[in-house]
Amino acid sequence: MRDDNGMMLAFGPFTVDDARRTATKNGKPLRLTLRCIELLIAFVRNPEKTLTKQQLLDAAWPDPQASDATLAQHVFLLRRALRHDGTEWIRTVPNVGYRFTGEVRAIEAADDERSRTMRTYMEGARRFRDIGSERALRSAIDLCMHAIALDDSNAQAYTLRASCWRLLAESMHAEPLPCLQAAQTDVNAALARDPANADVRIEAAFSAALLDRDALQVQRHLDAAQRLEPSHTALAHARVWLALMTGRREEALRVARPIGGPLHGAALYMSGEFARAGEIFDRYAAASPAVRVMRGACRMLTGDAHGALEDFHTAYYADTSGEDGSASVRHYALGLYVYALARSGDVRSARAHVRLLERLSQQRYVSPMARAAAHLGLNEMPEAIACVREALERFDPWSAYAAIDPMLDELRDHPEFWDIMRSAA
Amino acid sequence: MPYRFGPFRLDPQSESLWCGDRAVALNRKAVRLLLALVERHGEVVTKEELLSTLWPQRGGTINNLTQHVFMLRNALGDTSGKQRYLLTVPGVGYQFVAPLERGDADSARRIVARHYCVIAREFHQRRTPAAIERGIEFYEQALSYDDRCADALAGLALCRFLLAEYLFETPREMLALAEQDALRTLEIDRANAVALVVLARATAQLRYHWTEAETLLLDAFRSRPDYLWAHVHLIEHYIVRGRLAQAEQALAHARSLGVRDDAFPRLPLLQGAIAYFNGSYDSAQLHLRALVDERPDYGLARFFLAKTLVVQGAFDEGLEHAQLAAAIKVDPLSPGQPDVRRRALALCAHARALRGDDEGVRDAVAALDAFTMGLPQSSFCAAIVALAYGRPDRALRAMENAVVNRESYSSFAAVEPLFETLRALPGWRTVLRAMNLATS
Repeated sequence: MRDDNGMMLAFGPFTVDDARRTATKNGKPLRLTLRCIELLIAFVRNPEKTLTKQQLLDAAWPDPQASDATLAQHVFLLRRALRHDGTEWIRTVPNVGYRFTGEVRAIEAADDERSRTMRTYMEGARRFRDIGSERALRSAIDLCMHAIALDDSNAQAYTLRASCWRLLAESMHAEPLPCLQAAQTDVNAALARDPANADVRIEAAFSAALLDRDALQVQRHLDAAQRLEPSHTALAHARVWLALMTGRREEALRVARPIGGPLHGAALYMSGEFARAGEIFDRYAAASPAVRVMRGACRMLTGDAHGALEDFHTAYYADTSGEDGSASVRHYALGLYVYALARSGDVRSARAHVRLLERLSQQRYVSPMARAAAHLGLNEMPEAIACVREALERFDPWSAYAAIDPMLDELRDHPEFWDIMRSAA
Repeated sequence: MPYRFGPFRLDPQSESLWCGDRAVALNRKAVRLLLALVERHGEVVTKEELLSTLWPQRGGTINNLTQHVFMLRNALGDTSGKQRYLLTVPGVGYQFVAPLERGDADSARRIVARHYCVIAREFHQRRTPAAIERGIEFYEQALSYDDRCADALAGLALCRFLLAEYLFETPREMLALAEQDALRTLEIDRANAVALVVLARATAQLRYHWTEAETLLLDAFRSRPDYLWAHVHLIEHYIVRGRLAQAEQALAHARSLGVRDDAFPRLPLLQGAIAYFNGSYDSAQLHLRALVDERPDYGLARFFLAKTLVVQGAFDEGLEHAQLAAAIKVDPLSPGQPDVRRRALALCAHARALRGDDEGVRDAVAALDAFTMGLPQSSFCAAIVALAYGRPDRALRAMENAVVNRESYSSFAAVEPLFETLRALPGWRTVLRAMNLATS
């Protein structure tokens, strides 16, 4: 809210802009009805003062017929919107009215131009992250840097930048370890600025899983996120993947079932329910190379080598030039293509494609897990084990599923497998 | 609008300096001194200028000034060992050297627009229809953030030109759009090399004004000597006009820039192409073979090698390479252009015909037709296919069409050895004259 000197008012993580009739939490717009906003403005203009029901009705309702019940209902809605760390901003004063408690501070007037600048950076960064190509992720990272230079207390910018670093690693656009380390630095900065933010906690959980490999920390952050925002879609998705990474298949299935779609398919596949997973993948395979690869794996593991070959071939050779060009899926498809070729007896083609995979690995980062799958197909166990070890040492994001991916079942019987898994943990 | 640098905010209106949310204790003269330096940031401001600004009544001495600089440095934490903000230029004056954060929404929008251009480039460089479409989408987004972003306008021009050049869209219409975008770019940035190249190509292709096109290409060249595509288009311009010695010279110049062949394989390809159009087929073969060995996925090089072999009479091997070029779908190293594949498929038909394999010709043409579905017709391919069927008259008509459609490769017809049989036909001169090309 601007006072006479052109200031806006803030309390906790919230700001109120009187002129625009808007409010934000951590810079994100709060969705409030106009009545709730009017009510909030009346409260923050009179902190620590008891306001009678009539005063509040006069301030926020043009309609003189509005009743105490309407007021109570809107106070309830407002309290829900202002939920933060269990702080009770609006106290009930029995039989009289309500009192706003909490320190209200003025923020400098320059924030107006500044918050527009901030919005431009943050909106741009979010769009770039959603494009997902290597350049786009790096651009998003640069815009976050600008946002942070503008306001170092911006936990959202740190969180967004952490997610971009993680996506650079997960899409295998670059060597994963430095990206994951950069992500962790940002996660720590975000946690220091706003520990009570579900998005921050989700990124922290990914960091704990991919870099620290610490299942307890993963759970701690997920529990915190769950308490903060129980019905957050991104959180549900993260919980499925993180449950799989930490080997908790039942948990993954339980969360994924109501979400459905390829995510549920992935959880089914990882739990060995190939027939049901395959049915789901059939619906989405045409649109997504990643789903096609998982369907190929299902087909391979249910004895349909021909169908698997077709899926892996298509996933590798599909023209993805109009999409983000995510390398991870494509290279994993190539590794599995070798596997399927070798298992269907075409060892010559399999070897030719292994060479292609190795040539690619010299030119750029290719997941060692893709090479592990290729060697496994050719029954070259020592080489496959060496690739898994390399993947773990380089913090390859696919290696997070090594412990449960059914494609690697044969490898898990190898005496060295659990040794290298343990030494990585 | 306050100035921002490091953790500081300098407000010219209230003449106050802030560090984060805390006001820095500093007398008004010291703040004015800082303002005088920040307002001319990057420049050396002389002691005399500073004295007359701060003490307009001539009451100040050099000592007063030095004292205020000292206070200012203390306030900024700019100790003698580590001068981040104020630089002393001995004997002259002082310079404010730290980068200023404008921190206003307009500059933020320009920054976002610039990033959109970089992302757009990442896509359009893949040179497939889908990727170029994404490129256009992102350049348009860039313009929605900054409608005077010359890079975005030039990028749009380039994308539309590429859609025409590779025959992904009807070239006539696309070239006209590309030309408009290029002109709009040049209104903002007169020396924009990308826009100059697109304008040159549109001038050559839409109106066959070759001299004007050449002037524009040379302008682009001067404006950005390291812009490799300007070199490529200039070299191709010389080839089309039959000035092969000049093409050779321009290529030598481009290669002297020291770009590695594997980073930009188009240059070694042009080496082979010049030899091919010059009739030095052995030399062409040598260059192209080396390139194909190095880059087996480079479809365009394989296509030229196939053409060379066919012209030399090595039909079997030519056919083999044409088939390989046509089979390069999408390679992760350099995604193939559908248009190269299409021309390679036409060449397959041609090579089979020369081998006397009539059934093979029909199969090859069927493959070409199947592949061409959904793309605008290519009269260049139609001409090659007509020649394969032994119908030079139809090939000639196809080339007439190519000229009407403004197909980019039609202008190479003047120097294309594959069209040898057409040159004897009475209509051939008309085709060339329609393109303002010499009819020697």
